Amino acid sequence: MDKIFQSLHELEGVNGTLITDGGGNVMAFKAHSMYDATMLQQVSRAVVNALDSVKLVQEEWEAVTAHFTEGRLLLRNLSARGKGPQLALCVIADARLNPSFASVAVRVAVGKLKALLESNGYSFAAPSVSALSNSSGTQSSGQIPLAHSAPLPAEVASSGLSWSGLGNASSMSASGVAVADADSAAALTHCTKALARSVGPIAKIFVKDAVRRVFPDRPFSKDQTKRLLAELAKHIDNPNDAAQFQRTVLGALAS
Amino acid sequence: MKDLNVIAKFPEVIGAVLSDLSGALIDSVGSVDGEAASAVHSFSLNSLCQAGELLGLGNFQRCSIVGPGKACVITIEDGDVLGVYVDPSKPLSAVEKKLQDTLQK
Repeated sequence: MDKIFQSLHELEGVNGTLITDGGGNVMAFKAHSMYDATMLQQVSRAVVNALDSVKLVQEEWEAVTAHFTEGRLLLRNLSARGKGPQLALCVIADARLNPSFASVAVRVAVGKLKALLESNGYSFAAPSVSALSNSSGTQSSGQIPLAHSAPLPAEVASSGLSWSGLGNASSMSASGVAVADADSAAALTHCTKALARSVGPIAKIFVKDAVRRVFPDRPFSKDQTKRLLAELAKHIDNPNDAAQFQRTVLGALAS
Repeated sequence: MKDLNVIAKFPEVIGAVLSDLSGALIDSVGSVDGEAASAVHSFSLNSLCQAGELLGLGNFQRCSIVGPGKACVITIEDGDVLGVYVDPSKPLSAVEKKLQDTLQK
């Protein structure tokens, strides 16, 4: 399944792929680390709500494509007619996605996924999590019935970012950002997730850039968060949103 | 909002439904159950917007729903929800373009 997901991720603009069941549980996923498992679970529920609604007027839906100003959400029905569970493939892409290429690649992927799922009796991997960073430290993946899942590896699953310099203050991380400790990595995660609400997936780039620029000669530490927030807030046009962004992160770090 | 009859005159269109964001029917034309469709359009749109917001994809523009029996484009026009049902044998992207051009006029 990972190979099929990987083929989709080779399309420019694709940042995440997941399979959701009829109950809104994420059964498998591969996603940029800015999209952590918890967020994908919420997305999955929202997607299933939309699909349940669509089925009221169009029971045999095949494809739903939602266009947003900064990206697309491609949903494809993976369910076999009359048998097997309700499953849907969800592809998350930004504005760089080429719709023609995506159309072909997704059709191929859906065909392969349907064949694979049918051949293995619609079973997914055991609840052991295989959420891993890849060599560049920017993606996580897994096959996890999240409703019953064991705790995910903290760095990938709960952070939404793989700051792989974690715990190694003396060297730069694979992501190019060094952090002092686990709390500092968590602080960067909060910053990125909160900023993404205003600026989208590019938030991670902004955070990395700001850390390198503002703290060029030492690993980022949690107690420097206020300074970092002031820098990041410059990317948010609306002053109220910028202030809210800073409050959100500081509140999350204080709790 | 444009007159639904203008959109209904497209040869590919089999029906159109206009509703408000809460799902209340405003107008419908063609062979579509307007009452049922308007609620579904608004609810689906709301859920998709939620997913898009979580993922940082920006503002919702439109969505297309394709099945063997029918295809539909849902968009927001002047704060209302417009659902346009299309013959699935016709290329949906062409209809989306035509619809976009019409609504922007």
